[in-house]
Amino acid sequence: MNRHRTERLSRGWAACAAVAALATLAAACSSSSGSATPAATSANLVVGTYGAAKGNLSSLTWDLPYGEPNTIDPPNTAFYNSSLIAANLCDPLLRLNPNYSISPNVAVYRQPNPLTLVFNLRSGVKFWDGSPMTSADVVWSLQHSASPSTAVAFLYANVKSITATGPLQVTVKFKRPDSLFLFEMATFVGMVQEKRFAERAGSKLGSAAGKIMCSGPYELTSWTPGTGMTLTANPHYWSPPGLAHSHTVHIEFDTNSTSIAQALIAGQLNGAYEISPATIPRLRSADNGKLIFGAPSQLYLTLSVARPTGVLASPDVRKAMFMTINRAALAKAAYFGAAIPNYTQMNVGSWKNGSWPAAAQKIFSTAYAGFERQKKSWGTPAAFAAAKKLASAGGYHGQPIVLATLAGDATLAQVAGLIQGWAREAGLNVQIKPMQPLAYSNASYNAKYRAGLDLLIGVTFNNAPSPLEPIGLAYSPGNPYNYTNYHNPKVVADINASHATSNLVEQARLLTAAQAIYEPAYNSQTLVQFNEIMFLTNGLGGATTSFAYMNEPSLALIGSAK
Amino acid sequence: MLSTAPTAVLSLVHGRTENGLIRGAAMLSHVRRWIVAPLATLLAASFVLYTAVWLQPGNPLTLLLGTKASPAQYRYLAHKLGLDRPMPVRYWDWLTNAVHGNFGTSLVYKQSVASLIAPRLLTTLLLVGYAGVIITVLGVTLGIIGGMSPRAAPYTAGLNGLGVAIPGFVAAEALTAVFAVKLGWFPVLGTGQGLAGRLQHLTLPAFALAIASIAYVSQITRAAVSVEEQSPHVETARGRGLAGPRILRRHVLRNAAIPIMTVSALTVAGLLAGAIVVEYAFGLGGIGSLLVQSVSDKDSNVVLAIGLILVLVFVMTTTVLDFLQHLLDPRLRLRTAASWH
Amino acid sequence: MALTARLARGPALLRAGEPRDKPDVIAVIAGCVCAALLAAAIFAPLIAPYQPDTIDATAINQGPSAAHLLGTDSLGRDILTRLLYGARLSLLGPALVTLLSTTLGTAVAIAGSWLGGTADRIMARLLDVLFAFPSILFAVLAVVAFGTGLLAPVVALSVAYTPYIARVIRSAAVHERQLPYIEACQLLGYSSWRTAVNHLLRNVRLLIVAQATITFGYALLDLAAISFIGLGVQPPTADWGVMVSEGDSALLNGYVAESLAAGAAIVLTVVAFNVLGERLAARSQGRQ
Repeated sequence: MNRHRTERLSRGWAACAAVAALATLAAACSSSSGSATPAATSANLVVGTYGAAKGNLSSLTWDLPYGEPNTIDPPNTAFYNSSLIAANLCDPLLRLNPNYSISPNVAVYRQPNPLTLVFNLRSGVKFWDGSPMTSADVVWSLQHSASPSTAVAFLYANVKSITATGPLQVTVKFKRPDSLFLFEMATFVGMVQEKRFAERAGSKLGSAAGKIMCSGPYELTSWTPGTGMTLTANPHYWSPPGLAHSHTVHIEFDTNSTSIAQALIAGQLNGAYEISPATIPRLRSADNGKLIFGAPSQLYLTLSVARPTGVLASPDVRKAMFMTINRAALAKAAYFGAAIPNYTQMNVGSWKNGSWPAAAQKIFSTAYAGFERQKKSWGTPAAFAAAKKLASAGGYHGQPIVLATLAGDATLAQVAGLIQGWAREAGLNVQIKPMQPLAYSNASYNAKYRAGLDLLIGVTFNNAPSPLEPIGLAYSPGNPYNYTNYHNPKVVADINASHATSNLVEQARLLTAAQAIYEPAYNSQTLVQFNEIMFLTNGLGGATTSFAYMNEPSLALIGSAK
Repeated sequence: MLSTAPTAVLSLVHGRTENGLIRGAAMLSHVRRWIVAPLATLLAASFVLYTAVWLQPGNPLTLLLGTKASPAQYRYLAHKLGLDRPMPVRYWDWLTNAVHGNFGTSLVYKQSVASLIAPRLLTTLLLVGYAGVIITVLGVTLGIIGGMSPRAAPYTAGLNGLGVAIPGFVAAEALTAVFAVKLGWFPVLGTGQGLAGRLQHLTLPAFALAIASIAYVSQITRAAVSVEEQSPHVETARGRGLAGPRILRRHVLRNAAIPIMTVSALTVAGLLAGAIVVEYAFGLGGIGSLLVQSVSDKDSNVVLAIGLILVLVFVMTTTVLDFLQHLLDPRLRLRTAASWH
Repeated sequence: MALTARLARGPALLRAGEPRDKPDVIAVIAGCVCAALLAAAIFAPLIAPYQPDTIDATAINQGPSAAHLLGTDSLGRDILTRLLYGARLSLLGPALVTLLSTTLGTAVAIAGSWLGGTADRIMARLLDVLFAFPSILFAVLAVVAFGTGLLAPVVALSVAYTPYIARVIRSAAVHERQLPYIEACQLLGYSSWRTAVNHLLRNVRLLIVAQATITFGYALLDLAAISFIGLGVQPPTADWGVMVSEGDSALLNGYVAESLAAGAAIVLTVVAFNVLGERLAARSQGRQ
C-alpha cells in the first residue's frame, strides 16, 4: 500500500513539473517584440503580374478565404469567392485589362450615339456542352442580370431595351447616357451564360445542384458542398492565349486565416488571394512560396452603419462613434504597415490613379485634404472626451452598438477589438458579433440579414478605378448597398449627372460636391486602404497580383515558371 | 470524460442487482432493458432537443420575408411552412421525417441538411476513429507499463493526472504551437485529399482529442492490470516459475480485457462530443464545427439533425455496451470481485 | 475516473497499516493551490498591474518584459492582468455548477435510495434521459434556447452533471442505508427526514465533498470549452476559455503567450482540484 502513496506523491510532482515545462515553453516560444516587422514598402509591391507562365501544370490547388460561394450565377457573384470562380468559368462581353482599359472579349462594341451600344459577337465561341453562343444567349444573360432580384440590377437603371438585332448582334438602348455601363460589361455584370441550360435549371441555377453553363477557360466538373470544387480546363476555349495552364484546379473552402497560412507554408495549397493581413509575419518568412503585395489596388476597409434604425439612427451618436477610431494606428497595428489610413468614404485609390487627369485629381485631393485635417486627430484622448459628450447629447445612454464582423478572419477580429476598445474610452458600448461566412456575405447586400446589427465592418473593393461605382451604390435610393436608406435629392442629382457625362473633370466636381453633403451624415467610412495580398508557391508564375484578378480568368493564367 | 466512467462502473453495480430475477421474467426484462428503455430514452431526448431549438429567440420568417412584409404575408408563409401548428405536432412531424433521413433544408446554405451533413460526417468519423485507435493503443500500453512496472508507475501516474486535466482545445493550441508552428511537421487545413492526405491532416486534431482519454484509459488499465497482477492465480503462476511475459499474456491481459474494452468503447462515444471543440479549433469540416456554425447562424434544422445524431450515438453505444457486459456477466461477476474492489 | 472506480468498492477493503491521521502533504499542497487560485480571482483588482480591457494599439503581441510579465495580446492588453481577472468568471462558473449539481444530485440520490421502489425507478428513468446527452451538447442546446453568456451553460451543465453525481452518491447511500445503525435510528423513532439528513447524509458527506471537487474540474473544462467555441463568455470579457480562443491567431505568428498561459491556468486548476478530490475520496473510503 505504500506504493499508492509513492505514486500519488510522484503524480503530484510530475504534474507540477509538467506545468512548469509548459510555462517554459510559453516563454521560449514567444517573440521578443510584436511590432518590429518591416512595412510593406513599395519595393515589395509587385505591379500587375508576378513571374511568367512558361509551362503547364497538371493541377493547381487554390483556396477561397471567404469560403464556399453561396452562388456562381454571375449577376449575384459580387463577392470575392464567387466572383473568382465565375470569372474563370464564364466570359464577359468585354475584357477588363489590369490597367483598367477595356478590350473586346466575346464581343466587340460600337457606340453610334450616346444612347446606343451595339455588340457584335465573335463567331465560333462555344459553351462547354458544345452549343454555339448566339445573341439569344447574350440577351437572356443581360436581362437576367438586369432582373430586380439580382444584386446588380440597378446598374441597368438607365437601360431602355436589350434586343437581338442579328444572330450575332445585340443592341442596347439607353434612356440616359451611362458612362459606367460599358465598363460593367467587362465584369461579372456582363457575363454570358447559355439560355437553354439556365432556363432548365430554374431556381437551382448557380448552386451546387444546378451549376452553370458557360464558355470560359475552365469548366466546373464537380462541386461538393462543404468540401471543395474541381475545375477542369476547357480544351475548346475560343481564345488560345487565355487557355488554362493548369489542367485541373482544386478549390478549397477554408476560411480560417490561421489554417490557410499553415496550408500554404506546408505546400498543401499553391496559393490564395485575399490573404488575411494577420498572417503577414508568418507568410513573409515562408520559404516555399512568396507573399506578394499587388498594385494597383482597389481594396479597402469600410465601417458602415448597418441600418437606418437603432442606436445609430442619431447623427450625433454616429459621429461620436467614428470619432473614437484612430485610423493611422489601425493601419499600423492590424496591417503590419501594408495599409494607409483613409479619411473619407471614398477610398483614395479610387481617384488617385492613372485613369483620372491631373485637373480632376486636384479637385479630389483638395476636398480630401479638408476631411483629413478634420479626422486626423480622431481616436485620441481628446477626441474620446469630445465623442462622449456628443454621444450623450445625441441621446446615447449606454445602449449596445452591435458591430458585425466575419468569423474566422483574424484581422477583422483584431480591428473590431481595437474599435471596441477605443469606443469604450468614449463610453460607447460596442458589442462584436462574428458572423459565419455565408451569413456575413448575405448581410452585405440583404437587409434581412442585417436586422439587429448597427455596424458592419468589412473589406470592400471597387470593380472600376472610380468612386462613381461605390458612391453610386451607396447613395442611390432603394439600392441594396444603401444600408441607411439615405436619400438626398442633390446627392442623387450629382451622381446621375456624373454617370451621364464623360468629362472626368466635371465628374470630379460633381462627386466632390456630393461628398460635401453626404460625408457629415457618416453613413460609412473607409478606414484604411491596402493592397491585394496573395501568396504563390515557388515555381509558379503568371499570376495577376493586383485586384484586377477579380475580372480575369485568374487561375487560367497561372502556370509553371519553368 | 465524466460521461464514461460512472456509467461503466455503475452498470456493473446495476447488473448485480438485476440477477435476482427468475429466468422466465428475465427474457421480458431483457427486451425492456435493451430495446424499449433506450428507445424511450431516445424519444424523450429528441423531445428535449426539439424544445431547446424551438425556444430559440428570433423568427425565421423575418429572415425569409424581410421586415417590410405585411402581417398577411407572414401568416401565409407561416401556414405554408407549417409554423403555425402547435409545437408537439411540429415536433412529431420533424421526428418522423428525421427517422426517414429527411432533416429539412438549411436556412443558410439553402440545400438539404442531409447533403450538408453526409460529407462532414465522414470527416468526423475519421477523426474519432483515428483518435480511438490512438487512445486504445497508447492508453492500454501506458496502463500496462504503469501497472506492471513499479518503477514506471509514478511517472505514468503523474502523466495520467496531468492528462485528464487537458481539454481538447488546450491540447489543440499546444500541439499546433509545437508541431505546426515551431516544427512545421503537420499542416492544419480542412480535410485533405485522398486517404493518406486526410490522415495527415487529422493527426494533430486526433491527438488533441485523444490526450485526456489516453490518460483515463491508462488509469483504468493500470488499475485493472495491477490488481490482476496481485490476484491469487497470478501469484501462483509466479510461484510455479512462469516467466513474466507469459503471465502477462495468459492471465492478466485476458481478464483485464473486459473492463478495459468497456471503458475504451465508452470513451470513443464521448469523443464525438469532444470532436465539437477540436474540429472548431482546427477548422476541420466535420459535423462538430458545422454544429457550432449553425448555432451561431441560427440554422435550426442543422442543429436538430446533428444534435439527434450525437444523442443517438451516445444512447446506442451505452446500450450495446451494457448488453455486452451482461452477456459476459457470469465471468464478470467473478472478475468484478477481483478487479473493481 | 480512477476515483469512481474506487468509489464503487465495497467497504471490505481496509488498507492494512495505513496511518489514518497523518497529515496528507499532497492534499495540503493541492488545497493551497486551490485556495491561491480562488484568492487570485477574488483579489484580482488589487493584484493586477493593469485593467483587463485597456487596449494599446502600440503594444501589440509583445513578449514578456518588465512592463508586461506575460506579454501582451493582439490588442495590446496585458496578459497577466487578463489571466487574473479571467480567473473570476472561469472559477465562478464551475463553482456555481458544482453547487447546483451537487445539491440536486445529492437530493435526488438520498431521496431515491431512501424511498426506493417506484419513485426510485422513475427518477432513474428521468436521469437516463439526461445521460443521453453529452454534457457539452446540453450546454450548446441551452445556448441555442437562451442565448450566449455564462448563465445558460452553467444551468445546463448543472442539470447535465446531476445524474452522474446522483448515481455515485446513490450507490453509497444504498449501501449505507442497509447498515444496522440506520435501522437503529428508525427503531428509536427518528423521522425519515432526520435519519436521512442527520445520519445517512453525514456519513457520506466526505464522499459528497470529494465528488464536488472532481465536478469542479469537469465543469471548468466544459465551460472553458463553451467559451472557446464562442458560445459562452463573450470577448472582450476576460475568461480563460475566451483567451485560449483569442490567442489562436497570435499563436500562429509565434506569439504563444496568451493561448498557452490561459491553457496552463486551466490545466493547473483542474489538476489541483482533481488531486484534492481524490485525496478526500481516499479518506472517505478509509473511514468506511
